[in-house]
Amino acid sequence: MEFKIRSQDHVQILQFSGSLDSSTVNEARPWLLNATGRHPARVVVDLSQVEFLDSTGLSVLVESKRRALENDGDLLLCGLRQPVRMVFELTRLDRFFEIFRLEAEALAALELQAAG
Amino acid sequence: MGSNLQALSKTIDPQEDLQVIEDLTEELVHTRDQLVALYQVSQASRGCWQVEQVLERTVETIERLVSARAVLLSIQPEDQDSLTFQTPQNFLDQEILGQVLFCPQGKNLLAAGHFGAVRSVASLRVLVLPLDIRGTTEATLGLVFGKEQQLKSPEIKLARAIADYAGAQIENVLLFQASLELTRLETEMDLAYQVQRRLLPQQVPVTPGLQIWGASRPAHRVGGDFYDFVANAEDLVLNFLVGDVSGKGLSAAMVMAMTRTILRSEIQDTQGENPQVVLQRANSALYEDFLEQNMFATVFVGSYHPQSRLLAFANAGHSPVVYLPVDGAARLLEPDGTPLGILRQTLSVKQSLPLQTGDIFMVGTDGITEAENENGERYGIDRMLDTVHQMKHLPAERLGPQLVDDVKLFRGHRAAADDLTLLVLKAIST
Repeated sequence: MEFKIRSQDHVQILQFSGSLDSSTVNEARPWLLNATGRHPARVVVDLSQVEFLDSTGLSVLVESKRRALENDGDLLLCGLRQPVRMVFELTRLDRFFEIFRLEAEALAALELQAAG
Repeated sequence: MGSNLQALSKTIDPQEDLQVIEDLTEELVHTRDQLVALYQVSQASRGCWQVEQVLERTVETIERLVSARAVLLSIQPEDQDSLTFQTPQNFLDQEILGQVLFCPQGKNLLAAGHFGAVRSVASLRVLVLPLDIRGTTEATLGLVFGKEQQLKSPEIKLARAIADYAGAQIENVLLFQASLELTRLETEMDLAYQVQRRLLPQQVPVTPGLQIWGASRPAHRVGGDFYDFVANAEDLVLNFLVGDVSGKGLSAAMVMAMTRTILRSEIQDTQGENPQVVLQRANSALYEDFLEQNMFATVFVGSYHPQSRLLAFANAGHSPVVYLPVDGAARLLEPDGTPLGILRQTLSVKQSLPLQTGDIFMVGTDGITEAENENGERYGIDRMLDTVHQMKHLPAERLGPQLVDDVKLFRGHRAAADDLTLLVLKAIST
């Protein structure tokens, strides 16, 4: 798994590449913990380079979103590929997460949240 | 040594001869000393496999081998407190002992070809020798000499050899302890596996007009998948549930056991009338625990009424759920609510499906759809729907195993990454 992180307008944008599953989730967790540990924790996770996600991957994202919410922020997802999108739909976790096609849309949504 | 022998036979100068012989003898003596030391140190820990015992005996043996005033040893295994030994006991104050033997870059020193270091303490000189032990354990041997004692190259070489042998002994004991620990854990896992196997349904309840087949295979020794039947003897309603706890191994298995128990209890309470209420109540009961563990569970609860042939169900984020009508194509029934442990309130609604003779209803877990082969391809939902469609004429007891076999065949040599559970119901003529 590869990780990239950048900061834009007080938002942490995390980009993962590869597969987010039980074999890689322990590598991903520290990145997510770090980004969601700030205050306010405004995070966008770009999954456009992620080909596969299983329940362990879902778990770590759920955990991270909860943490972001606790820290006066939120964690939004963007760029989901079809197979990954399907995993969210089939578990109905698309009701728990806000999912956007483009990073810009996710950033705009966070802006609105912060203003409101 | 060979070249010295040759030199010996060629030389004609008696003075030189004597010198060469003296040098050779000294070399022999030192080599013999090293061999004796090896033997004694290796014998020191024979038959004892407790780390502390081995360290004590090693230190005592070394004291007999070298003309040191005292022998010190400190060892710091990973994630544990450090242990120190010295003989004579209490030769040095504990604190000073720790400082003298402190050698955090010990393995690097050895790798760079150094023997260790020499340190001064009061009127003493300490030869500080790091031990080369595999892994993250740090250990250092210290030999204490008076300032007046000479520390020549042969003595240092002997000390280094002793340190190396001692290091090997300690490494052995640590490895042995680690393998004992592993065996202990294996036994616990075996027991957990037994418990879990017994929690799975031991029999399939007889239900008029319905063929039933179910199986569950954990990917590792224990897993987070489950399926269960809750039969009601009076009205022959067949309640069944299939679930998948996120995560793997022992922690998922423990959460699974809890979840299953609560679901069973709620099904019995509601008499199988309201699968959506079962999910709501189970979610309420388990929400805090799930939150605490950062886990969630996808759950399907179904209830088949033989008289009306109606299948009522509710689905909290679970898939694959497949409905194959006798006269149509197989399709995936998507869940409408989030898994247990995600939101404080679940939103799954009750759905009803009248079954006709020949209809097939299946609930599996992602051990089927996520099965991966050597080329990194997944079995997938489409393949599952196709395969099931081709087997639609088979009775449940044959369809189930054949689908599982097909998944195994697809996986090939790749090991299963997910638990696999499958429940097959087929409506037959009454």
